[in-house]
Amino acid sequence: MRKYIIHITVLLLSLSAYTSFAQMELVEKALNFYNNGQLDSAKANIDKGLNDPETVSDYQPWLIKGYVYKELYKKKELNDPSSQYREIAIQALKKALELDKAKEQESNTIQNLKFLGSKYNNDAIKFMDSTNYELSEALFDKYISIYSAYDPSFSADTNRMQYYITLGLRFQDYFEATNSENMRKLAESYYLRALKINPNTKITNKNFALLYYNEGVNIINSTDFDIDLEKLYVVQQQAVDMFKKAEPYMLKAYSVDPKDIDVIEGLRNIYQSLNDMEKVDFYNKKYNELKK
Amino acid sequence: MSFTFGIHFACDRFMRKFLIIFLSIFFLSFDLVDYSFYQKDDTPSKIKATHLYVFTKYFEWPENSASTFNITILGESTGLMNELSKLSATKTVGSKKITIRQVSSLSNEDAPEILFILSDKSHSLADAVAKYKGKGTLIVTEKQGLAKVGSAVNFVIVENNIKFELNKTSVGKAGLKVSSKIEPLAVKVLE
Repeated sequence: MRKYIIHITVLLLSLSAYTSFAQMELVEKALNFYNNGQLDSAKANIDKGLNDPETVSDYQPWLIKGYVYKELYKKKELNDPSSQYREIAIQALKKALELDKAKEQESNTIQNLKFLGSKYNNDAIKFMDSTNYELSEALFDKYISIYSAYDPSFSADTNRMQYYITLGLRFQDYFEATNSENMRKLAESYYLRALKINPNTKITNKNFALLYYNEGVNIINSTDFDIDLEKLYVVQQQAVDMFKKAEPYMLKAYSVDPKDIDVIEGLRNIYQSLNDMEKVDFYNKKYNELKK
Repeated sequence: MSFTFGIHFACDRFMRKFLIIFLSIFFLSFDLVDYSFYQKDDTPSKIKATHLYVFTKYFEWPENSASTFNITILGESTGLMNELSKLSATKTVGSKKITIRQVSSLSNEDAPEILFILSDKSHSLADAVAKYKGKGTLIVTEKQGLAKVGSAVNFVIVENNIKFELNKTSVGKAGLKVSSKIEPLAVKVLE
């Protein structure tokens, strides 16, 4: 039998306060089953034990429930992003925290909540793809919600921004690979969300600019040499519109880091595509200076 | 009555360590995943090359028995040469194969069907006009004002777009005919 008690932090459960012996017995049984690794039996007993109005007002049965469900999650649903065991474990631990007025187990409870929260983050990362991104976002929201509530050093904004940038990059990759307009729009929407949190981030501005720039290049590249001049002018204007969209974001990236050679190269390319040779020369000089 | 309660720290500690490593890689990767995939293509060159090819449908060259249609670039442009190479590999003018040549100065070789004088070689325009007068060479330039001084077609930038001016007199002097259908597409037509 698996030895569950690996490193022991002792929680003294003083159950003698319960007036109902039957309920106390159920909680006690649940704890014993839990310690013996008999999680299904532990679950059945703790669920029953928590039917009593007196039991539900004590934090300890809730804590036991949280641990039991957490272990069930780890054992049975670790790869299930919609795990109900995890959901229930979190709700139980939250309830325990709320009832633990003396903060006897506050630290441990929070640690376990964070553990389960971090699993949402892992799942969110795992599902960052073109078909599961909505699920990923929902999971990420849960992660943010738990960490925001229980980790004072946690910055929801920073984490959200990084998450949105990563999704933006992911969809930019998909767009480059498939030329799908939908992928471009998704990349655009995630970059905009990242910029809403912090409009002065170099990487977001640079990549957002690049998204538009590459779209402009793709528009031109997809034209055939046989195209009518009227159509060529329509296509050219569409590309110019994209290059103009790219310009302010690349300039912002440049203002954040004027020494970033990729950004300078980006500006040079944008202005070349806009046929603005004066600015091409300006950024070309900067580029060559940094290359030295 | 009291009970002991085991908390699975070792397991969680392992998971946390794993998580920290994972997240570190994940978040550090923001510096690494910086999307540096620039499309290197030179879009103005693609547009100019496309114009040169489309011009073959609007201009009429004197009959000749050559099997090739020759485009000469006076000046240096890697982007343009790349685009014209793609053009010559995939397109023909009528039944003629397109050949592309890049030169740094006007040579004594046969007159090409199209001579594109790049902006840094604009000073060669007068010589080119004199050299190829009546020989069926369409002279194309890309510097403001050159349509007035001898080039038949001059690329200009209008609100960030590449457009062209047409000088019908220069077309005639070069020994070429031009379809009136191209006139509405030019930003300026000089008689």
